[in-house]
Amino acid sequence: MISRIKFTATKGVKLGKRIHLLSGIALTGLFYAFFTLAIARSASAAEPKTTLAISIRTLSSPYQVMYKVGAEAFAKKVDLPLDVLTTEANSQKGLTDIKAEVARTGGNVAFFIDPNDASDALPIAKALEAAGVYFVTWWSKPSEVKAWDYPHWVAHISFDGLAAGTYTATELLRTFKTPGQGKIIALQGRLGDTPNAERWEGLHQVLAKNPEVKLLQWESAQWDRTQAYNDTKAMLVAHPDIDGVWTANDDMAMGAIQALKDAGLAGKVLVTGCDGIPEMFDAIKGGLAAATILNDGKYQAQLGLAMALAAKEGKLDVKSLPHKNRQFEIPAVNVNRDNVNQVVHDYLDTTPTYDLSNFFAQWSTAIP
Amino acid sequence: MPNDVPSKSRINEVGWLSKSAAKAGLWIRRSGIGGQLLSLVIVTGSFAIGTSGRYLSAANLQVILRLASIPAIIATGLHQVVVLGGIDLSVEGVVALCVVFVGFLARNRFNTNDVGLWIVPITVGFGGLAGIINGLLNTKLRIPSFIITLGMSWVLWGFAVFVSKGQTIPLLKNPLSGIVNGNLLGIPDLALIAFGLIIVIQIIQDRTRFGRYLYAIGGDEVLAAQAGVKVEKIKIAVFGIAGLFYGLSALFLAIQLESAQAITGNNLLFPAVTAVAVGGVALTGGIGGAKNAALGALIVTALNDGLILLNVNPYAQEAVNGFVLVTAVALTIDRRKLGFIK
Amino acid sequence: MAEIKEEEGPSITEKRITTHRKRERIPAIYFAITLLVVMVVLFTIGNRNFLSAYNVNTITSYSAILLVVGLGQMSTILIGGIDLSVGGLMSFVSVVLVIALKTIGAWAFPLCLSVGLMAGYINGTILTRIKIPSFIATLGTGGILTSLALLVSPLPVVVPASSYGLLDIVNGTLIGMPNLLLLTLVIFIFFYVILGFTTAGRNIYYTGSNIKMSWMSGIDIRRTRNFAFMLSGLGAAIAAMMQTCSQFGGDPTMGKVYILQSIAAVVVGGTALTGGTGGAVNTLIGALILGVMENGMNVVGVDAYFQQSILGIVIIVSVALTFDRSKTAMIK
Repeated sequence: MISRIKFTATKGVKLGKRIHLLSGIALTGLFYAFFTLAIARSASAAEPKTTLAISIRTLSSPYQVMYKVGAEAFAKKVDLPLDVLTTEANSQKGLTDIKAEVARTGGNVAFFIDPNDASDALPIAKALEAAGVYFVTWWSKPSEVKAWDYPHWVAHISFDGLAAGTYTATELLRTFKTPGQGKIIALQGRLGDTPNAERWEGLHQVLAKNPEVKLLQWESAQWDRTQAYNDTKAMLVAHPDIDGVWTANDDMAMGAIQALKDAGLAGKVLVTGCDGIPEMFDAIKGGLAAATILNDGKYQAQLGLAMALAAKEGKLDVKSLPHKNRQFEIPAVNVNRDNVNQVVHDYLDTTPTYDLSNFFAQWSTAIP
Repeated sequence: MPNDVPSKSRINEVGWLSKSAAKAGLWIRRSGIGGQLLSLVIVTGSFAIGTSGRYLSAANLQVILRLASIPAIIATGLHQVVVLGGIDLSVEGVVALCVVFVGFLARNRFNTNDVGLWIVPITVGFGGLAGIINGLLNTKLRIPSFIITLGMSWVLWGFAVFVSKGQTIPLLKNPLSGIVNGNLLGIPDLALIAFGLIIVIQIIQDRTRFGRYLYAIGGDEVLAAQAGVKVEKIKIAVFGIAGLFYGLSALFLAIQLESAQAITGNNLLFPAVTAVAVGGVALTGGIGGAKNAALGALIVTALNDGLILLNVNPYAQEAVNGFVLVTAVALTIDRRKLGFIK
Repeated sequence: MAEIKEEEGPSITEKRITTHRKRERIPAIYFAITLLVVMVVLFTIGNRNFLSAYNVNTITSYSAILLVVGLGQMSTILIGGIDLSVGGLMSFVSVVLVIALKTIGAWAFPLCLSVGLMAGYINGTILTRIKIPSFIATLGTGGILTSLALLVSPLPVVVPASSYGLLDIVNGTLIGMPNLLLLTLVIFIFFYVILGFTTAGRNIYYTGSNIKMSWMSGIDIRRTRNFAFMLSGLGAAIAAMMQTCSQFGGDPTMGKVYILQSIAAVVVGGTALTGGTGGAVNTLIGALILGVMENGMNVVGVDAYFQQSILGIVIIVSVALTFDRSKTAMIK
């Protein structure tokens, strides 16, 4: 039917329209000329001092803010300027901002990057490789993409998401009335996120080993506290007799706890999370949550920046590093009721002194 | 429309029962929410069958009412802007900043501030102020409300993140906690508050000059202005009222979750606009009232709750949601009033 | 721009009429261009690397994708509708493209184009045949497409290195110009010509400015609106393909941010949501303003805390300057 749409040119093109058309062509030509001229211009003189830059997801989440805090401390220590970029859930913004930072510093920059999506790692790597900028990525990258194919991609590091899922699930099962036997519900984060998929896989490994624990239902609460509250409330109607709630991060865990409070189940049915936000530690102390893991954002940022900077200054020979040191995981801190006070003292009340002379001090497993 | 009314003699024939049924039918037709009530019945009915009655259990109805309350309050504020023919996208920003204020001023773990019940006028007032700024920019600078409110939302959101430095502020027991989380005769207090607000707005829309002007402007702004309606004042007031409602929901959200963080406001806008549209408020303006917005919020919440209760695969939930929305609206939309559908 | 007869809307007060007259001499689009130039100058003063070839390439490739999806969105806004399904469609096309590249090679591109056109056609049909407002219709289809994307591939998928050659359609260069930009230019001209110089385009404007009158004067409003939604599907599909190719991989959640972004690009350029006014050049300016701001703030090093707020203020100011108030009697 669309074929009957008339594409015939409208009759009697007026003078005004012709001018519009001509000016359009002229503008296009100007743009083309400008663009080719601009290519002829070589890159401008570099800034005298190397800039440190971190590209993170947002400044509105306590965990992501830890990156900034850690990076600021590191920048102060080495006396270099620091820039913070945020992706705000927009992959294209993330990539553009990184390129803008390269332009801003004339390429004299070292990057720590937490890609917005796993698939962003590749275009970021290609862009920074082309610009000759050293960088370290965290958390997410497609498994087919290898850091060692890119001389400027110093390393890809991650916390062991699988281990996190396994640990929290195991701890949750221990809290049941009859340990290792019961029913749970679960909340995933944003479907499609790598850490979410890994933690989820960890939960399933534990469930496979414990056939008497049944996962009755799961929902995706998008990492969001309010939605976790809503989803848990609805699921509790369907399954009022659960023994535990597994969630993929602490914010969702807090939402689930609030829903359990309304149902009068808080403290009887325990919750687990991941990330290690201060409220979660209070919940563990108060007997509302079973366990979480602490991903030390301050160390993450410092390690990433230190490695990228060392590579830039020639102190770290990236090419000579074995593959196992280009892609690896470091362990998170497991937190349950037994050690929560100690962890709060060590990581929140005081900032631990990190050993940044050996980048692989915490190396646990290689990422194939 | 007059053809649908049964003739008087026929009513006498079939007696009192059908007489009142006919009256009820007439009332529903005139009220402009018949289609929405029908959607709600279809949604609840099919879920009730699907879950073999558990959907209609008291516990679940309580959950639905509680979860629908805050979206209903937001939608009640928002829909008046839509009736004027505009749109208000500032929900997330206003809520974010109000929530952060709640975090700093109500009893919390970070500082010793405690303004007690003053928190209500402060947050609500701040929301109203933000709304009035929206209205002033819209009318005085003559910029489309879409852009004004979108820009304001970004400005306020950025400010909220800056002020809170991204931290979550855990709240302590608040004098309002009992109201926000409690029930009265099995009905959540929040739902009663929302219901009260909806009634007030509905009465204003039905019985006052302000309400008549609202629809006059929504129907034809130029005509209304020529007839002497103070268009700008009404518009500013409507944006202001919307802001008041956002401020109130921010307060409830923070107390419900016992924590204040800027991202509490995220993901509130789309459900609210959807509720308004599903409720039968025409986005072109001039049609629909508070009862529509509230019913829309109830339908959307009932749908989401039902999908979880039926344990629909979360990957497919959005598809089912979309399909049901389109079907429900297709079956129930009152096409006579809309003229050309845009 | 289509030459619609300038209908001087009845003004509300005398004072307004005079301001209209003043503005009428200079079309609002020139204010928008001036604003863009001022921004570029300011950012260049802030950091002269802003106008380096590298950075201009960055800005244009960011704006290019926004522009293509925006042009499609614009055609639905011009008829007074809206297309909220672009997000779901982009996510879906993104994963379908990668999976199809693995199996059927280059045929993946026409496949994705037809997916886009088909989605647009369905949207249009729901609007015109079942008579549901486009807001709800496209919200529904968008949700369905989002779910389909997640069902096709719950995790991001990467294009195998063996297929990189096929991606050169977007990633390669032709006489010094990146293909991405040439492609965008072709699409821009396509929309510009369709909207400005064909009967179908004129009908879109007529339908948008007064649907009843258009219907009375014999315009097939049903076909016109279907066509506008197909244009939107086409734009979203091409934008998704462009982003997927330049990212070397598909992502089932990629499109979500583009729902609001595409509408913002259209409206910042001065197209009214009420329909009937605006055009391809407006959307070009809108996409460029958003791209220049996004990039420029980082090039001059604005603190990440303030970027969102500044962007909000700038879009309000830019629309305040550029919105063509002479063509819409009432601002809604």
